[in-house]
Amino acid sequence: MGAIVLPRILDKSLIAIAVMAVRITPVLGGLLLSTTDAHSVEPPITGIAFTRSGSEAVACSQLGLTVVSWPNLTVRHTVETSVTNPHSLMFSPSFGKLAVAGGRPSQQGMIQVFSWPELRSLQVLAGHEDSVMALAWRDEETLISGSLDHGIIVWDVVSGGQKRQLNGHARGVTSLTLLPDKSIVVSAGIDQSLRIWKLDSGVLQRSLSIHTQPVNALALRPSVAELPMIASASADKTVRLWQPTLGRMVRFVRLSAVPLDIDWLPDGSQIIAVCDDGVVRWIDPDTIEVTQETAALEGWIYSLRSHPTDGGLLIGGGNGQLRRLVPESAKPAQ
Amino acid sequence: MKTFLKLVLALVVLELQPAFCQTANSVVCFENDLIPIFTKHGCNSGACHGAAVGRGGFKLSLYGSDPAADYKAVALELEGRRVNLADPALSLLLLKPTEAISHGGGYVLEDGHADRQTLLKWIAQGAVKATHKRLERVEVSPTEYVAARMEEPLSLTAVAHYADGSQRDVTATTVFIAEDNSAVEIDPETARVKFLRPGRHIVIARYLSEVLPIELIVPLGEASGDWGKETRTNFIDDELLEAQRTLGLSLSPRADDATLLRRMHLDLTGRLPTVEQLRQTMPPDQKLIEELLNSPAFVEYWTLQLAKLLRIRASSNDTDGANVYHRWLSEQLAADVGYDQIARNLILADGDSRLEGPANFYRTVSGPREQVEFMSEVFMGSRLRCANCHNHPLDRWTQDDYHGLAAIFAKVDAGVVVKPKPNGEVIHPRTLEAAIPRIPGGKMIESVDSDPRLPLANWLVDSDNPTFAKAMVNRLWKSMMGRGLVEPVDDFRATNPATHPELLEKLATDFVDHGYSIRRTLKLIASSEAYARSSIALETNRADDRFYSHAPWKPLEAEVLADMISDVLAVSEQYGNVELGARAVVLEDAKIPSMSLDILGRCDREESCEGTLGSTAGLTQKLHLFNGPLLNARLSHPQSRLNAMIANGVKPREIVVEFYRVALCREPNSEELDFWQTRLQHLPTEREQHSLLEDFVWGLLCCREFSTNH
Repeated sequence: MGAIVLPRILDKSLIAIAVMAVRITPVLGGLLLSTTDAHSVEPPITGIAFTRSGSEAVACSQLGLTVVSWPNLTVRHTVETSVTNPHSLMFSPSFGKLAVAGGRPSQQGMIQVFSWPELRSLQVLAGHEDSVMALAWRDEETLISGSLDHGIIVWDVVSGGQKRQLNGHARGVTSLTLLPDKSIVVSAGIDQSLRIWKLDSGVLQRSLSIHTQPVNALALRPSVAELPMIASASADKTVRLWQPTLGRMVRFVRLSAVPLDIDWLPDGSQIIAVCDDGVVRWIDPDTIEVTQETAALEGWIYSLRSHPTDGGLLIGGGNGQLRRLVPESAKPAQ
Repeated sequence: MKTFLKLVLALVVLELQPAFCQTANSVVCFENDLIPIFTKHGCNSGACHGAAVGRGGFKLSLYGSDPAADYKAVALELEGRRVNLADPALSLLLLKPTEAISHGGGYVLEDGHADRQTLLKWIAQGAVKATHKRLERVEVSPTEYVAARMEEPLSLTAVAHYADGSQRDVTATTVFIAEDNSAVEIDPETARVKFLRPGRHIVIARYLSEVLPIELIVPLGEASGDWGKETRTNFIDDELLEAQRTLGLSLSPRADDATLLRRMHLDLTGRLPTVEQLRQTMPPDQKLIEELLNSPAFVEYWTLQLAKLLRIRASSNDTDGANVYHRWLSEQLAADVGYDQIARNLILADGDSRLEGPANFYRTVSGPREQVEFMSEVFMGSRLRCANCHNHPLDRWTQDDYHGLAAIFAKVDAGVVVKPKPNGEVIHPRTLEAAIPRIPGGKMIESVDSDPRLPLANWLVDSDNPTFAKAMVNRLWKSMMGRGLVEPVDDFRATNPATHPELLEKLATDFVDHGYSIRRTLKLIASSEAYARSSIALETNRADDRFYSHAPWKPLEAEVLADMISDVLAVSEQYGNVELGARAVVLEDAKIPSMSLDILGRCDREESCEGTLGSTAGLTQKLHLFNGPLLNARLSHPQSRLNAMIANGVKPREIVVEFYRVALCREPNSEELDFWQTRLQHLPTEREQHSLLEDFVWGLLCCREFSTNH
């Protein structure tokens, strides 16, 4: 089925992520909802976050923030941000704040904190010397950022001051994730390593250097009572599972494309990887096998979040593509 | 202007333009339009982002050899941060080279430069990858040019031809680089040539993956004699005279017989002619060449040459393999086995390396990639090593060629017993998967049942293979004539053309037609008039260092010079535990303890010996030679030639004459004789005369005339 192309509308709220039409295409195990015009030249969707209820999602691109409804991806509104070139966004633990990170490449990293759902600017955090690529909230007042300037900063969101700097990566930091007890943060970056830091002391606990290419993303396995487990996705075309508190790589799977972002299903039963061939891959973390592959977008898929409750996925990619993906198992009974 | 308006305007521009590569007001193509800009401004050079690991976290393929990877790096990596589709003018891709923000590479693109506008336009059009035209070839003009004078104006042009039949003048984005920028200057904006000195100059034109040589000649002299009357022995003279005529070069006359005799002996046997041979074989002729080629000394000396080429050396205190390898090579030369057969036996070698000489070919370097580099330099005269990390920037070899060849060698177990290893593999760094065995520049080897070395050996020594025979005859030519037709001899590529391509072709054809016989090619060269020219340059050909208007002064190898010193002094050198009296050229162990060989600059064969300058290189070596025990201790040895002559009552004048004959293979001229006689006569005691004679011999052995072949 071909894409529906509608005339461009000079309306800022619509052009923000180029919502031109919705097309529904059957794909393996689900429905694919396209919100883009195949011939457009919009910036890529680089970050996605779901609201607490999952009834809405926020996406970011060089054009700003766009709030869309779930599951039909109708654009609710768009917001300009003082963060140019945003790369990441994340809700605070209470979902009362939304942090958006990015900056002017090679010049300044920047984070803007908004109130949610008002989207009123609360704070602008500027201290990095290059784009901020990753965020992690420790609590409502503490935010951690990782930047291409190689550094990690722990921020006091209320005062806008820096609590601590974590320096150790030899190249840019691309991803961060906090372990469940919130005392340890794991970072990963272009230097091919994962680094485990004690947040209160700033001590680098260990470095894990098994990846052979830059690490693109990290994701913590949810809802598992065992030792914390993290998945990492790398340009070496592997997804690796780690027990960071032990410093152990548990197992890995080699993919046929580069995974750019990863997430877990809310029950921790599957890892989802979105790749540079436009394919979404489901990985069983126990058998470490790819259980399903779905060609989802044209080109690179940069961002991914699994919906908190309904099993759906929201993926964002090049050319402003934002799509909902519903696995077969999550489809409502006919 | 608001961001969204800029985007809309950009989109409007896109929609209004036809989808063609950039002509006026058209769509900008990443591959055809942007990569040449990156190349022109040096962005993708090896010193900048084209380095194997990139620069500043941004990696481009070297000279744009991998457009797909470059597109990813520019437009997609790190979530597309290098292009700002919302506000194209704020793109990192523009801010860095214009130094609007700090740039390690400095200010490489002016704000108002047309190339900046092209980059901006591409981003405004969506930074898409689509290439609407496939480049088929680039035509440069001229490809060869002989200027009548230095001041002659010349402009270079380049035209791209596309698969759809269209063409475009791409002179502005073609990079023209003079190999020697002290000889030719090229205006990067206009492609106008300015000659800075006469001679033959090579300019490399680069546009995308096309790299083409341009030969520019400004005559070195004004000689205009009757070239038809010049003596010609064979096609070598025909070809060289043709080039010399074009260059207006005057020719040095034929060397005198004594000089030529010494030259032939040293080139073909690595030995000085004895006084007896000097008397018997004047003048040097075909008969002498035949005699030298069929002598045991020829086999010894040329075994050394091939042993150095193949880097034969003992490893880990195990000399058995090196010895058996060396002897095998000597047997091949003695039997005049064709070089193709030698190469074939080496490529296909198996067996216990302590018993089978050729098996050591696989124990010379460690690892399949190193074997690729070694084999390609030795047998193909090509530096494939450049293709390890990226497609060769100046040649046709690709990363697939390199790793495909490595995959062939990975299937050889290079242990003490060399044998096939069917499951051996190497990982291709680009695909991160096992490389597929592949003949360089050719087809993949899919069969898993047979030894992939067999098709490799067949390809290598096939008479249609353009590299194998040329690489060898070029080495033989360099050994005899002092400079390869292609230099360096292991760097054959289209962008490093031979000084005399037709001559190289004819030598290679003759080599193939005569069973790849090394003797045959050496004889051909030694018989030519060009070989016989004097090494004394004329005022009018002094600037020539590559067109053979006069013979070169060639430094001698350490082993040859060590033997010559021993011969002149009549005192042998002790090499390790080898029996006293053994000649250095026959030593099987390249690392045998010898301070003399170290001082004289022997090649340890750990790496290629082809860059070794020879025994006269280096101040340290000179000082050792002048002041150290290498000469002084043996000069005063009781059984030395000098002391034996003095003990036998030979008059000082006769001693002087004899040493001129032994060391320089000629009689002293009257001026030289008078010089020494006058000084000797003024010394009152025999002891003082003895001391002066020692100084005289020392002086002979340190002079350029002795330590070079000329």
